[in-house]
Amino acid sequence: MNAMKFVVGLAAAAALAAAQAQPKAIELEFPSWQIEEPGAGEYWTELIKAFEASHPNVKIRKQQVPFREYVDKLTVRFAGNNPPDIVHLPTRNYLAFASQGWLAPLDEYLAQTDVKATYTKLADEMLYNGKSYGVLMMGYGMMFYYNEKMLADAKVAVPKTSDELLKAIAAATDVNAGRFGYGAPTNEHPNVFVEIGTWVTGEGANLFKGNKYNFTDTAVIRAIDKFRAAVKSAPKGTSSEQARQLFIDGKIAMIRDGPWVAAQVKKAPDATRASLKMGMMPFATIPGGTSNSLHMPAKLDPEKKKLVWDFIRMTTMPEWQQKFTLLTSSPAPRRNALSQAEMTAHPELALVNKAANEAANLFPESVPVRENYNEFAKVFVEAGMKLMNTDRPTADIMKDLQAEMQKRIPL
Amino acid sequence: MRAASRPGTLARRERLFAYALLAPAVVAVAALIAYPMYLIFSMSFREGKSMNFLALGNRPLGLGNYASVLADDATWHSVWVSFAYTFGTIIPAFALGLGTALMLDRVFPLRRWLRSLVLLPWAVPGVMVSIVFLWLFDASFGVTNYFLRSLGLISTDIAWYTDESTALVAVIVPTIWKSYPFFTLTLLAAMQSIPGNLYEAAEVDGAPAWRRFTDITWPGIRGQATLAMVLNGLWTFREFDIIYAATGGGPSKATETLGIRAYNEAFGYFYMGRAAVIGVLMLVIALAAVLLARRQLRKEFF
Amino acid sequence: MRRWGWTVAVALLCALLLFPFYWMFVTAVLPTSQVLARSPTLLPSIADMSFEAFRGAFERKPLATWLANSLLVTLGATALSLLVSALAGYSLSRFRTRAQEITGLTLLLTKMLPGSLIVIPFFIMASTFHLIDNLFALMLANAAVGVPFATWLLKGFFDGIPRDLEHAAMIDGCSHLTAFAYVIMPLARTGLAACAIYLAILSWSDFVFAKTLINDQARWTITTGMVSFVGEHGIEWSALMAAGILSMVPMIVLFLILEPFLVSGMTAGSQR
Repeated sequence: MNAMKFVVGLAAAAALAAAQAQPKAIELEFPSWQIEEPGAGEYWTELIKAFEASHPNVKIRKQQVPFREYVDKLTVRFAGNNPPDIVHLPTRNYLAFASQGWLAPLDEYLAQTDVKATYTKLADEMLYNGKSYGVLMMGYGMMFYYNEKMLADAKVAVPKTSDELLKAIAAATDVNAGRFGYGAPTNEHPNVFVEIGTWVTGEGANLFKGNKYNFTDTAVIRAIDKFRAAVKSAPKGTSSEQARQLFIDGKIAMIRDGPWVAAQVKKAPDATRASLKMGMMPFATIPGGTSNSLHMPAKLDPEKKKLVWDFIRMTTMPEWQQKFTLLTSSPAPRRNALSQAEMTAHPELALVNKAANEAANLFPESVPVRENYNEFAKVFVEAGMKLMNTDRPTADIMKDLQAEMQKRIPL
Repeated sequence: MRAASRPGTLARRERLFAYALLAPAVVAVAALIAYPMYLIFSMSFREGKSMNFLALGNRPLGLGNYASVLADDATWHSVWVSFAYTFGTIIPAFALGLGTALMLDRVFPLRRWLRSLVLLPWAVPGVMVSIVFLWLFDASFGVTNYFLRSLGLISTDIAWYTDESTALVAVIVPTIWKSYPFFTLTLLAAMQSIPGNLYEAAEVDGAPAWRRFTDITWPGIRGQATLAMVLNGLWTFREFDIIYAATGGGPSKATETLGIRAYNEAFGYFYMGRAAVIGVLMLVIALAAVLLARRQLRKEFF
Repeated sequence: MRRWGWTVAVALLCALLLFPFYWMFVTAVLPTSQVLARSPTLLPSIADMSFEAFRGAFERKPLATWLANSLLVTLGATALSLLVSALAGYSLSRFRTRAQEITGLTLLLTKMLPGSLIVIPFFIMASTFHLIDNLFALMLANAAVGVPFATWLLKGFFDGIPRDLEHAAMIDGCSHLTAFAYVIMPLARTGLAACAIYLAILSWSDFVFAKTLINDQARWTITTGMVSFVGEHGIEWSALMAAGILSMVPMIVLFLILEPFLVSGMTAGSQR
C-alpha cells in the first residue's frame, strides 16, 4: 500500500510539473471583484469577448475575487513580485500602489487618446506626482434604494431628510417577522468606511479639516450618532453584497449604495421587482466619489504592455462607454456618453448622472492617508465595529480612533 | 563481517548508512523548518513598514519592532485572548474526552463503530468545522438560537460571531468539538493499558464506581493526561484556521489570538517585522509551557 | 442485556456529538424556505428532500477542481512524507547516533511553531523562487510539516520490531536496505497506516499554506475554496453545506476505514 501511494504521489507530482508549462497563446490575467456582479459582470464579459475577437492570439483570464479581501490579495501579489497583467482597483486604493512604484505611468499612451479632453473632472484623481497612473472606470454619487411596498405597509412616506429616514427605518423594522428597515455592511468589510463616510459627508460634516484629522468635531459626532441609530435596525454581520441581496429579496426596506445596484434590481424576482425603487439620498449633501479604475503594472512583459493598453483603451471608446453606462446603470466618465434620446429612454440614468454631478467626495483627499488607504480603512472599520456593536459614547470611540490614526499615519 | 550496533561503536559503513537514511528528513527540516525560523528571527530585527517583502533584507536593523510590539496594548490583549481561548478550549475538551473515553473503555456490541464515530470530528478540516458552526450559530436563522428561543432562554437573537462579548465563545465551541477526540483517543489508550485485574480486585472489595476512578483509573492515566493537556494546549495556542474562517480575529479584536494577529500584521497591514516579533513572543510562551511540563515531556520525547 | 444498554447510551452520546453533521445534511437537502426560517424543520420528510444543492454546488464553483487539487497535494505530500519519515525513523531506531537527541528536540520545536507565522518566510521563499501558484511547492511544504511527527511515530514502531529479523535476513545475504524494505516495512503496516491517516488529514486540512502560496483560483484546494464560498454575495447555506459535505467525505471515509490502525498505533506508541 505504501509503495503504491509513493508511485501515485510521484506520478501526480510529475503531472503537476508538466501542467505548469507555458501555454502557447498569450494569456492576460484579469482579477476583479466585479466579474460576478450583476451589470458590471456582463459588461466585462462583452468587452473581453470583443477584445479576444480583435486579438486572435490572446486570451483574457478573468477571475472573481471577493471585494472584502480584494485589496489585500492584490497587495500581497504585488509585494511578492507577481502582479496580475490587468490591474483593476478601487480608485481609493490606487495611490498606495502607485506610491510603491508598482503601477506604470500611462501619460504616453493617454496622449494618443482623447481621454484628457473628454473625461469628467473626477478623472483628475488619476494624477499622482504629476503623472497619470490609471484610467477611471467610474465616478458616482450615492443613491438611495427603497422598497415602496414595505414603506407603504409601515405607513411611512419616502423620507426626504435624514431625520425622516431614521423615523422610517424604525417604523419599517420588525425583527421577528424578518423585516429590517435599513441595510448596511455590518461585518468587517472595507465598505463600513463608505457607509460612515456617507453619513458624515451627507450631513455636511467632514472627517478632515485642512490637512488634519477631524474625527472629534461636533458635527461629525452628530452625523455618526445618526448612523448608529440607523444601523441598529440593520441585520447584523452582513457584507455589502449580502445587504443588497436581502434588499432584493424584500427583507430590507432601504439601503444606500452606488448606482450599480439598479442593475441588480432589474434582475430581481418578479415578486419584489415592482416595489424596488431608486431615488436621491435624503441628505443635505449627496456623497460620492470615484469608484474604480484600470491600471497597468510596472512589472510587465514588453509583449504584454501593448496588449494591456489596448484593453484599457477599449474601455475609453465611446461605444464602450455607452455600453458601460447602459449595462451597469452607472455614470460613465466620458462626458455625454449617452445621447439625449437614450437618456430619455432610461430615466434612472438621468437620476444617476444628477447624483454623480452633485456629489461631494466622501473619501479622504490627504495624500499620506491615500498612500496608506488600506491601513486607514482597516483601522477605521475596527472603530466602526465598536460603533455598531457597543454602547460606548461616539465621542469616546472617535477620540480613541483619532489618536490611533495619528499614531499610524501621522498628519 | 559487520560490527554489532552497540551504542558508540559503529562501523563506518553502518554510520554512513544511518546518516544516509536520515538525510532526506534532515534536508526537509533544515530547508523548510529551520531556515524559515531563522528568517523569522532576522525579520523581527528589521525595522519599518515595507510592502516590498523581497527587499526586507535592506531595511535597517534594530530593536524598534520589539519596542513597539511589546509596548502595544493590542499585543497584550492578544496574549489574553490566546490564553482565554486555549484554556477555554482544552478544559472542556478534556472533560468531554475523559467522559467519552470512560464510556468507551468497556466491552459492548458495536463498540468499534461507535468509537470511530465519536472520534470523527477530528478528521474534519478546521475551516470546515468553522463554517458548519457559522451556520449553527447564525444570528437570524441558526438552529442554536432557535433552540435557545424555544427553551425561553433568550428573547432576542444572539449575534454569536459579530458581538464582541460572545465571539470568543463562538470560536471556542467549534475548537472543543474538533479537539475532544484527541483526548478521547489518548485517554482511552492510557486506560486500556491499565491491568484489568486491578478493577477485578476493586469489585471484589465492593468499591463504588467513583472510587474505582479515583484510585485506579486516574492514577493510571494521569501521566498521559497531563501530556495530552500540554500537547493539545500547544496545538490550541497555535490554532489559526478555525478562528480565521469564522471571524478573522474580529469583531474588534475579540478573537484576535497571537497567531491571528501575527498573520494580520503581515498580510493585512504589511508590518513584517512586527509580525515576526509576535511570532517570537508565541515561541517564548510555548517554551515556558514546555519547560513547566518537562517531566512529562521527557518521557515522550527524549 | 446490560451491554446493549451501554451501546444505546453511547449511541445517544454519538448522536449528540455528531449533531453538526446531521444539521449539515438537513440543510443541504431541504429547500431554502424550510432551512432559512425562524423555525427550521428539524426532521426532514423524505418528500421534501432533494439533492439539488449538491448539483448546484458543483455548478456554482469549480468544486471538482478544488477537490482534485486537494487530492493531488494530499497524496503527494503523504507519500513523500511517509517515505522520508520511514527512512529517518528506521535510522533513529536502529542506530544510536547523536541525531537521536536532536530529533526529540526538533519534534518538540515543531509543536511550538505556529503555522500562521511560518507561512510568512515560506511566502517570501516561494516568491523569490517564483514558486507561487505552484501546487508542487504546496505539496513540499505540507510534506515537510509532517516529517517530524511522522518520523517520531514510525521510530516508535520500528522500536517495537525486534532487530533479529533484519539481522536474520542480512545473514541470509540481503543488504541492510533490502532487509529494511522487504522484511521490516511490511511488519510496520499498522504504524504506516496510522501515520498515513494522520498525514493525509493534516494535508487535506491545510489552510494557511494553501491560502498564502496559491492565488490562482484554478489551483485552489478545497479549504481555500470553501472559505471563499463564505461571505460572498448572499450565503447560500444549502449549497455551502452541500459543498461542505462533499469536501469532508474523502477524509471521513479514509478515517473510518483506517481508524482501527490509528487507535492501535496510538496505543502501541504509548507503551514504551
